[in-house]
Amino acid sequence: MAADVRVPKFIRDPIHDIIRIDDPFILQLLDSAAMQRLRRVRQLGLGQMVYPGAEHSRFTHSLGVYHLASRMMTQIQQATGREVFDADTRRAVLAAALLHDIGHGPFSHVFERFTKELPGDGKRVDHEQWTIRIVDADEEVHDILESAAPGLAKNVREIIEHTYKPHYVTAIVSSQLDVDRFDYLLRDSHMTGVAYGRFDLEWMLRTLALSPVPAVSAGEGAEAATVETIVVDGRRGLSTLEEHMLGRHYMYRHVYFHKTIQAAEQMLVKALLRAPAVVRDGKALLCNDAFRKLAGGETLSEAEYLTLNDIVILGWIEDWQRSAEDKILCDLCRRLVQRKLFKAVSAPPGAKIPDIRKGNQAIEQLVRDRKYDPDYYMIENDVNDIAYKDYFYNLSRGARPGEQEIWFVDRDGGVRPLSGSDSVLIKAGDALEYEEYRLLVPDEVATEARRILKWN
Amino acid sequence: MDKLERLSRLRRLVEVAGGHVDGRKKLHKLAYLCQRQGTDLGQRFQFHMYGVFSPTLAQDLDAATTWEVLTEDQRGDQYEIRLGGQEMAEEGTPETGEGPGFAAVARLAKQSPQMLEVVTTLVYLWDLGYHGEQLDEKLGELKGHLRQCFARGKELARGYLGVDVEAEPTLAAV
Repeated sequence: MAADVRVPKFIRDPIHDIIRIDDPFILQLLDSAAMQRLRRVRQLGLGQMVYPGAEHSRFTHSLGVYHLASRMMTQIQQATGREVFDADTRRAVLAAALLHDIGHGPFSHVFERFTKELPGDGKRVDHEQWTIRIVDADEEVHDILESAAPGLAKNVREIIEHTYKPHYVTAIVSSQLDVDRFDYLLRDSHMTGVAYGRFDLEWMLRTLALSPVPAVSAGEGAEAATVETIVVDGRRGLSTLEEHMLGRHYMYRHVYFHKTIQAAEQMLVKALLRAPAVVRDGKALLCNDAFRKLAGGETLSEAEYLTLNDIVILGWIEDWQRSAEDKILCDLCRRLVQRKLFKAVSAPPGAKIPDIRKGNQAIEQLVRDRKYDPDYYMIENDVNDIAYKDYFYNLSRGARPGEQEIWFVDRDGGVRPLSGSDSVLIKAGDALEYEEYRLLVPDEVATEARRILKWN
Repeated sequence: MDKLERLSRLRRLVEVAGGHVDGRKKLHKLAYLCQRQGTDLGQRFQFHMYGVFSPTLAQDLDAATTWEVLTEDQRGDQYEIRLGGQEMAEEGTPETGEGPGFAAVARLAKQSPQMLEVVTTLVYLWDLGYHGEQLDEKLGELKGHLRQCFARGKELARGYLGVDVEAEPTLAAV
């Protein structure tokens, strides 16, 4: 396995300026076929349909996450004044950070939506599960990890599964304060040109430390426990934290949930869902063995899954718009290639279920009247985000803290959950919730629907 | 799966659980088991410190209470989830009412939150490939404070969910 690997290596990066790599095994992982594939998977899927600069890849993002994981460990170690990351843990965090997205399919979340809707077994593998499979079963990746340190593959897998102890190790890579989020917000903001995601990273890192926090298990009467996790020094860092969370929320509103990006991605999902029917009918269709297996409802191996990336799919879409023996598939692909995307018709705020039902029925009729198949030409798009919410947050102040909390050190030195605080994120409540129910339909249908229904 | 169908199935889950569920955490665990046993709720689950949960389920629960499909009433420091006034029969399909996952929910709904936490964790670990001593060790590491529930949890998993934690599991397929 050993290649002639020289460290340290320095890689230029538009967000972090210079990324330094000191471990030979990290360079070997970067050079692996599975990691190199991430150069061909865009971070923002079809985001460049609206933000032409959004061409960045999962590869650059993964490098950024690796870099920040290293910095966060250094900061936490300095803040606590003790060795909290031994050599094995440090290697595992760095590897998990670098590899955390290795299982992403083409166009990131688009492919996951596609496989989830394939007919057949309802249990679908998401990108996190693919990441775990690749760490375990891709010979090249697994061998690099195990050559670096026996047991490293297992440790990396446990971090990604969220079963690694101590908890703060997992929290570096996956939590409300994780390096994944830090990098993608800065990177997506920079590459799209949308400023909301920019926050004071340097100060944020400086305010992080470890502390035991009260932990609750499900239900009454469970034995009280504490867990050591990452906390923010609220005496210095609360405003930076709020800036970061608000920025994330606005990025969801204006970038990730953008109606045109959603339209493009959902149309791509529909095109991919139409293609298997064409394959199963025995008609000629440009694709590869992995796609044919998916079309037939078969299981993919890791190696087959890794043959799929954005460039491969885009090549098919270009071909299908002209040569597919299926009108719907041709049309959807042509619309994608020529950016003739569906338009959003949004239910008014406060609409109740009877309003939604009535609207859906009316729009479906409009779609049929124009001889379109509603299964492909009427797509539900339901988006929802709130700036800060613990998933089990109880609205009464002082209630038991929930599991997805951010903890901070208050002015009196006590460690408290954000959900019980006076933070603007909590006080603003529903004002920082963004929710929209849309139907995505061809332009002419949207115009008519807005006229009839008074939807936007 | 569209939103109205997801809310319809969520309502059905609360219905088969006896018309109410004590707390959001318990709801997430019942929903996880329901989906795992073959009734798709359209949700995606993750594992964190204290067990399985679903961000998408949390959002759907919000919508369900806004649209009165379900209600949440505060009892002490916990919210009890009950059926709301908005019926969802129009979205129902034969699967909506009678999926195999709902049968599992009906059997396990009366278990304590601690027991459900142990059951869902050991099932989650088994699905990841842990079994036998390896599973015992990891379960102890994650849920040591609930050790008194382990033996019974394994029985419930075997009896109601078809999970034998001593046997090697098979991985999910695409």
